[in-house]
Amino acid sequence: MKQQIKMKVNGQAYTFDVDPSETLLEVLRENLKLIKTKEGCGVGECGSCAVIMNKKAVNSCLVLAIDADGKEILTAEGMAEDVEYHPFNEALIGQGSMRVSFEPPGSRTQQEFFTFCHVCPGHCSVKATVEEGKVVDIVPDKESGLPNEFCPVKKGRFSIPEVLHHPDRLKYPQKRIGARGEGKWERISWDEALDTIAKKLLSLKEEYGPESVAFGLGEPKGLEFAFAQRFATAFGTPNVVTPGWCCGIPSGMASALTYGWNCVPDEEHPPRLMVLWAINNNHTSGGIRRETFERAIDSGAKLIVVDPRKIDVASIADLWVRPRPNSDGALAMGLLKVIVEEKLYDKEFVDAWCDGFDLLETELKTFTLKEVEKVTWVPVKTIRKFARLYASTKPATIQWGNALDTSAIAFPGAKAVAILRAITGNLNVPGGEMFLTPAPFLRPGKFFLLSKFPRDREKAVGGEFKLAVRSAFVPPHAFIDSVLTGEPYKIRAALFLLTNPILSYPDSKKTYEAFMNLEFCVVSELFMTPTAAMADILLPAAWGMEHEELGYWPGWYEEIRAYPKLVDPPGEAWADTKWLNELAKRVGLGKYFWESDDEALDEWLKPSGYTYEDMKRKRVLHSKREYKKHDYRTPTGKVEIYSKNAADFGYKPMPYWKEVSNLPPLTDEYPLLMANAKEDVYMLTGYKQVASLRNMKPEPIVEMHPETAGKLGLKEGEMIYIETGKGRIVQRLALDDRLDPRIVVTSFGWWFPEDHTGVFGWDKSNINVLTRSEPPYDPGIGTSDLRGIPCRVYSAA
Amino acid sequence: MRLPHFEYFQPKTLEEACSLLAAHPQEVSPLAGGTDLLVKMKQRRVVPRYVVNLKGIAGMDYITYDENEGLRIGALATIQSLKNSVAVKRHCSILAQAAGVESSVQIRNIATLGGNIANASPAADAPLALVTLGASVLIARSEGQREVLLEDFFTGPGKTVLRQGEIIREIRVPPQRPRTGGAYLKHAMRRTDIAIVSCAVVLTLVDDLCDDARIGLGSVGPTAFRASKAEGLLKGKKITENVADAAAQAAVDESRPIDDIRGYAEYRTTTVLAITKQAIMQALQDARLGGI
Repeated sequence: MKQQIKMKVNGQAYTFDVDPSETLLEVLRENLKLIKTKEGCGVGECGSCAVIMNKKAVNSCLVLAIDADGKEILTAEGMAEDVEYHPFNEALIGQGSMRVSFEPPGSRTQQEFFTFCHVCPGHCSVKATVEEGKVVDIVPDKESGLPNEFCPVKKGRFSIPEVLHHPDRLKYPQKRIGARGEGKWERISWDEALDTIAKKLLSLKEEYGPESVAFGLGEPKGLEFAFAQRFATAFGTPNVVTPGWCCGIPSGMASALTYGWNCVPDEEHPPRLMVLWAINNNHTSGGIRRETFERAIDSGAKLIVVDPRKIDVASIADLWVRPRPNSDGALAMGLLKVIVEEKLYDKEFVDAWCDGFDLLETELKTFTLKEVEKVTWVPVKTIRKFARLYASTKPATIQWGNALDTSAIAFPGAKAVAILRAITGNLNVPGGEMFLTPAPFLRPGKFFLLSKFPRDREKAVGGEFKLAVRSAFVPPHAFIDSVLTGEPYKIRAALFLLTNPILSYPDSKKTYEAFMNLEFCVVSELFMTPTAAMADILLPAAWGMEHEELGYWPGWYEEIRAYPKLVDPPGEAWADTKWLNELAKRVGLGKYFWESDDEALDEWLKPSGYTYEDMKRKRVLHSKREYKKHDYRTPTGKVEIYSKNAADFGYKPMPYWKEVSNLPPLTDEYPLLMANAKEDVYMLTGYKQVASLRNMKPEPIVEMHPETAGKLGLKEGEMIYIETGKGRIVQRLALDDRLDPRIVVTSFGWWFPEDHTGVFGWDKSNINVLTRSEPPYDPGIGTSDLRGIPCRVYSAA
Repeated sequence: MRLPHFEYFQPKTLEEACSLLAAHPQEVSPLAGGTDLLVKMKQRRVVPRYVVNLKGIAGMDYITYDENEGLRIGALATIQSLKNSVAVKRHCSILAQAAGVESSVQIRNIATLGGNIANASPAADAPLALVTLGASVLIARSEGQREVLLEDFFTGPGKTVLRQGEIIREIRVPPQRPRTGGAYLKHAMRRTDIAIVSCAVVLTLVDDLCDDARIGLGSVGPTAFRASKAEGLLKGKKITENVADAAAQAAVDESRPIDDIRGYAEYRTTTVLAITKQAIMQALQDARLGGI
């Protein structure tokens, strides 16, 4: 039952009707659209929601709104006018309350270094405090003018010191002595490890060809990804599995095949409208960094949020659009229909610079908005409102999130979005979307030696996915199927670097089986993980801050950053670049590598004229924003709504309604759709053993509408099974009446480092037990559906 | 993360609160500061159907001191108010120290002592200091009240002797004897983190001998507990480094640490040894200088 409360916020009196379960934070955010006072961890650890209530600092996420009745509230917004950290936040940063201490108290040397947080793609600029060889804290770098606003959860600040000194870090090379996955190991020397690997690789190469060896890579952190790619190319195997198949490539390629470029929001000039499509920009960083986002909102930009969940940014949005998971392409087609048919597009631009607009017009006539509503679950009224607001507010920018990449129909969906950006005249205008000129450093593809030895599609498993092979990877199912079926031939050995396929590839049970069937498996990791447990040779990796490093990822910023070594790695841990460089020498590829891996750092910087030593001071080389008006690197020199080239990669030349609206039906057997989101607290499948993060989110949670739970007789808080034809997992049920009753939102990436009964509970709560690795696939890249998957749920009691 | 929905009551008196709690057995949670309960609710580890907010009960946040009765603390007094209280600092300084190292200022400003005790975490700071100071809790129910020694109040992690319809009303700390000194040490990754191991020591000197010794340990057993064997090794003795070492070793033997995400049992054992000795020596120094 709602109750009326009164409070003064930043000097102004308000009356709100609130439910007893609403927190002060929710009431402030929803009603007053505050942007600086935001939810981080939600459980009182991070302080991002801190406000002053009756002169006392409190975390507003842990105060019931009704307990704030009659109180006076002062928020960040009431304390500072600019977008910088406000005095209260400064005080919270400065009090050092989050600093860890591993030493007995007393005087000690303390040094501060500028570097970048390396936990997520945001790469916030930070100042690290080092005491006696240990990183004890990292705080936002407010001195360099670089983007530095931490995620509200402060996951880097919490996790970096803890991971660097974690007792569970892998410290020595080990070899398996029990059955695979049994957990019996023997410590060996680096020499023995590298000799064993080299011998095996050479004998496989001789007997079965280099393609019998595969690589599995995680998100690039420093240069380890690039080193592994270079090694694979030089060794002669095209079989490298990377996250590209479900992250960045489908959407990036849709842009590239439309404009000849990827594009990002202009960070220099705030747009008048931002569309956050499946991304929580207040929590994570996409192309719009948090500072830019906040500046735009502060200057009055409108905000549209597209997400099945009412995520944090949705609470401050002008319009929240709640689509069916995986119907984004259909929604984009609906928007195009309104914009084209109501003639809201930039006619002059379309006439002069768009190729295939007439074909699009024809295609848009093949379906009705009512059909769009039926497929996307978004009311016609909302589609119209969205389209009109987007087309009439200029400049506007669309920031898309990873969800748009994780589907077999990601490409046409992303192409529809790419067309939206173009026909509304938002390309290469200040405040719109830009083609960036990369900073002057070596192009990653060149470092991968791709120009010297192009990857051989004929030799690759999954070679039919031409765009994948051209982007230097193969999709995971091609690798898994090769190991399990020997088709088109058998991959016998694989090396995995900082990646956890047992959790991150679709169809975990099949992946697990493939790992059990690998002849030889090498894993380099920070911690023991379900994947590391499968290794024959397990290598201890040095992490960021433990070695000299350059980072060029995420690619969309087109910049390169220096990450100086601040502390020693634990035990005998080596940077991946170091062991790959050494391994290369042992398999006769020394001429493509260096005496020492650090020499490669200078090579990356050659085009800039700087050395790595220079870079440690310079820290970052920025890309240029030149507003390349009408510089479209396509065959026609225009924006190709209709791209003949797309056909070369197996795609339709244009997004078609039939393709983007073809979603799996809900059946009596599987009446719900499984959606999922990346965790706020963790980075993908990592860091479940970090105490301060685990404290914030101890268990996997599955969210559902209370009506659905009621019909199924499920009680909030109980453990429930989520099941598809592939298997079932268990997560704890939370109810949220803002969700569509037809979906369940699961937590991604769960395993349990503390569970020693099997392989760390890899199949207990891991949502990839539920996903499929069979067709349908994206024809060019091989992506399969990772969300919007029909499922059923029932009590685990 | 949002809170689960619940039915809400805001009683104005303790009697009303007790009868509300008694009326809804199993499905009701009393709410004081909420810094533990609301977290558990957000994480769906607790999903109460009814929540009884005790904060509307007036006059339950007092801190008073009387030479004969000792310290009396209303259950709704905040942890920050303990940290700041002159009476607490003067008469039970280890309680002020323990309150001062509990979590962040934002949490201390709303967390209450009653809630901190009822939550029954073996890692909680102020309750460990109170166990060591020989405190008791006054428990109210619809028909009357009872007093329980805090040491006997905890029965396991998250478990207490509180029965349905009972509410902690007051915390009582007996007056400490002259030349009683204390120390509170918490070992954690960050100042704001919960303890990996915590140790409270209270010593009373008569002449140069230790007349009474109380040693409390946190995070190394299912509840905060007194290490009575270790205490026995100090009583009647002149405390030297060697005596303190022996007592610390006894404290290790009395501990039952487990592996968890904050630390392994083995690490905790090493820490108990170091921290207990250090706390004994600090408490001794404090007692020599006049103490509490």
